[in-house]
Amino acid sequence: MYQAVSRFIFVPMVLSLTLVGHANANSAVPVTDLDNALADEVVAKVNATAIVQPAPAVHNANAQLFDIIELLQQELQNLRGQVEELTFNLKRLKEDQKQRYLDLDRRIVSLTSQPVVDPTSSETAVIVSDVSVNTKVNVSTYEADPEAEKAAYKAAFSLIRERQYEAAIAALNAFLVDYPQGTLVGNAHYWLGEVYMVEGNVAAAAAAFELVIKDFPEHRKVPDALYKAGVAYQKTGNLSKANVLLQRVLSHYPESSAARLAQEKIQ
Amino acid sequence: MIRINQIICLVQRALVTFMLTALLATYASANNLVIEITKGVDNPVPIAVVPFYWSGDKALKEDVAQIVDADLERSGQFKALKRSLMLSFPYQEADVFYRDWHYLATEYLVVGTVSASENGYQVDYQLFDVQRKVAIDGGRFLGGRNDLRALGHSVSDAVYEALTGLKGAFRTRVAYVAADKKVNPSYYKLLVADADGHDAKEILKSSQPIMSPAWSRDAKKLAYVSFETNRPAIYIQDITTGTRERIKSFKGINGAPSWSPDGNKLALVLSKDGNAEIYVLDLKTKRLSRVTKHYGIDTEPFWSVDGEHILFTSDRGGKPQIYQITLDTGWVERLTFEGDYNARGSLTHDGRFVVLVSRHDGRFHIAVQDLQRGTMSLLTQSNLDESPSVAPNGSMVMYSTQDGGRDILAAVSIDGKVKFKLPANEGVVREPAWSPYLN
Amino acid sequence: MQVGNLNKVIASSVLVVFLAACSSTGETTDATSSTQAAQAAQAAQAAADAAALAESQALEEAQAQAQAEAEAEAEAEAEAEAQAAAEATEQAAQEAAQQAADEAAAVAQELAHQQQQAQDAAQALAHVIYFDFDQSTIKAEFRTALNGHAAYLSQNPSAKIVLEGHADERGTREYNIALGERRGNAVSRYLVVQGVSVDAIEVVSFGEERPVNSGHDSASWAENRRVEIRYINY
Repeated sequence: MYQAVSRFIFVPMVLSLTLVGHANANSAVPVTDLDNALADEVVAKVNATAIVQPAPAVHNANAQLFDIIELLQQELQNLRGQVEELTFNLKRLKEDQKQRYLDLDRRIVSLTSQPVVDPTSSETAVIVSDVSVNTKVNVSTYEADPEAEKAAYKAAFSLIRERQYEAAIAALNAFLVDYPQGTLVGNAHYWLGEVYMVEGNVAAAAAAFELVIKDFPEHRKVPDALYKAGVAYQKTGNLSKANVLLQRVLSHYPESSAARLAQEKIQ
Repeated sequence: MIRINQIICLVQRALVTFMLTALLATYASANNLVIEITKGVDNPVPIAVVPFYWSGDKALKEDVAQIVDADLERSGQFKALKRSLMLSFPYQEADVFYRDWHYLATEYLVVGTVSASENGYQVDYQLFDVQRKVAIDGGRFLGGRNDLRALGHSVSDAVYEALTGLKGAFRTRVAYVAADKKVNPSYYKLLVADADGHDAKEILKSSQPIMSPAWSRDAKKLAYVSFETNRPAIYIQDITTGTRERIKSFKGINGAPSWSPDGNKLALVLSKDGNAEIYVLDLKTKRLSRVTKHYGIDTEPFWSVDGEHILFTSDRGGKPQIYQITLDTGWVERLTFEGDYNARGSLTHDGRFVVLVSRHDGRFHIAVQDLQRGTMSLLTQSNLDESPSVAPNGSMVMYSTQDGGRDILAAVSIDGKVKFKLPANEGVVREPAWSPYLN
Repeated sequence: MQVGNLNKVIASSVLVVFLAACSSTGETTDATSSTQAAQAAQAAQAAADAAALAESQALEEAQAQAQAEAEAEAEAEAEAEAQAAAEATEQAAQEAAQQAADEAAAVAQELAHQQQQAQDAAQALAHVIYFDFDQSTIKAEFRTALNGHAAYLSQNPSAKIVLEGHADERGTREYNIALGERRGNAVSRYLVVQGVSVDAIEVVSFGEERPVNSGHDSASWAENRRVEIRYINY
């Protein structure tokens, strides 16, 4: 009874505080009626029970700080991600650069050490990847011993059959250096692609297949190269590029066995 | 002589066919995973597994040769000759006519016998090279009365190793989670089956989620997460005795257990200090030490084979990627850079490849990151592929995917060339965990 | 403090009236006994003097008796009056108490009603907060609802909530457990900033294990990326 009466006497006080709270809330934040009512009551009761609580304005400031910290954290995470990626790319670029230099160096050395005879092949250094070699027509214009070329190619190819992929890559690359205008250059590039593929170096494989497509457009391996390049791009996740290549197999070589395989790959 | 032999063979063939039909009928009802090979290598090696000779009067419960046949086919690297095409059923070297097998374009031939031993069975097998007309491998396996399937898998492992040079992983198990929300009461189950999906056994059943099964390196225990108390907790269960222990739980996340190679420690994820961080629990001393410290998410630890590093997923760079921490120095290195979502990495046994979940064009695939070359390639083209788990020999990856709106298990070879599905005939199955070699 | 006074006032007034009534009755009794003693003395004297005085004696006796009767009557009257007065006072006090009790009950009811209203209001607020893919940022549209919960929770220290964090099925399961918790923590922090005690909140993440919609499309996923606010105690 005691308690009850005490509350009874406080009713007017609560009411007056409620009004104050209302004013506060209104001046601090424009919110909806429902929340106002609730917030008012809280302010009133909080004051009545004399617990020290921050005013709504403080809450609001806290909420803003909360937002700012969240944003900063996100921003920092994203920046960290970018730094990680940039560092990685830089590292890879450096390696690529070194690799390219070594490759170039090797080619120059092999060119300078090769006894250059025919004036028609004096341009070799520049032409390597530029000339569209039609294997059948060019045979006669080629200087090097076709038998030796065939033997070198066979040796490299047998390494593939023996699943000595690392060695095969080296042998095929050496073959390309030794017989840049050979009749089997297209084939060598194609098989280089295949071996890279097996080795999981999908990017290199795609590049090799594309070289076949671009530089040996008449080569009989082109439908296969298109298909394989498509598969390689699918593996790297570049699905749009993969589809373009696979579609090309279908439209240009509908009768090839590659076309059937390409059809399966297109989803 | 030849004639008699052939007649015997015919009788055997009839018997085998009968046994086979009976067997198929029982499999369909008793087991909940059915293998379906979806893609094999371009030129699988032709092999013939002749029905194994059994001298007992009662038909065997299992067709051992059929098990070997199915195992080898499942690897995608072999094409088994149909029994109906076989001209004879030899079971010892003397009865092998290479000419016949050569004529059937078979490159290798497996023959064998099953005989009763003191406590169970004894299986003898021989492997022949048809072209060279020589036996290249042979051996004997002993097992208990209920071990016929295991004996078959042992033969498969031996044949596979003899022909590929890679240790076989057919005699292994897979733990996985099954759930059915359409039945009443809905349930979650933790199951352990043979790697071919047979003989599924229930380890735990609960009305609440079960997650993240992880095998101890001796393949005797499973660590997993169960929500049976409505809060996540990690349990370690001995799969033969069924006894289990609950690891001390903390407020928040208790998840993603991963065993150390020596089996003495467990890497796990706790959020007791604010957010998901990786800890290492020493199972003997019960000492807990914190490994990662970042306000981003750090989860899905996976111990390297040498025990010196832990692979984990972190979104400290804004998007989930795979990182590696060196335990001694605390040095953290990011491993994946392709794609905006790479998670749940696990290492192949040789430490060369990380198998993971990767998002490309908004779809989730299983991918493999070559740590030597730093390149990533996708193993699957389906969507919502999850939870990759590598076979102990690193040849195949089992994962969960969606098939007709349901979660099913599937497997893909590490080179992406071979694929098979293991659909369940009830509910959904997910989170496969391939066991280490069983000893 | 003032209430106590009022009570005392009521109580003491009742006491005063009661005492007054008692003292008036006592006086009357004393007067009667003294009159009788006088009469006895007078009678003894008269017997010794003469019988002639008998008349005056009888008269005196009659007078005394009349006086006594009158006094007794007055006494009864006073007694009745006092009793009536006492009864009236008591009734007044009772009525006052009753009224006070009624009004107190009304206040209590009013407060209970307000409490119920606050609880209803809290219940009426959104209990599910939705998020974007791989995000745990609380979107502006959910802040008013959270402010409401924060207000209710800081006002009712006994109230307790569990924040259940969830993710959609995309991505890996353990990462999604962590993501669900990050979402729960974001909501928790927001509430704490608004003045809610940390002890009133528990965060549990179910990751992608308990979807509300089992579909595999963006609409279903959007429904599943959520934090559910569950009151264990209002």
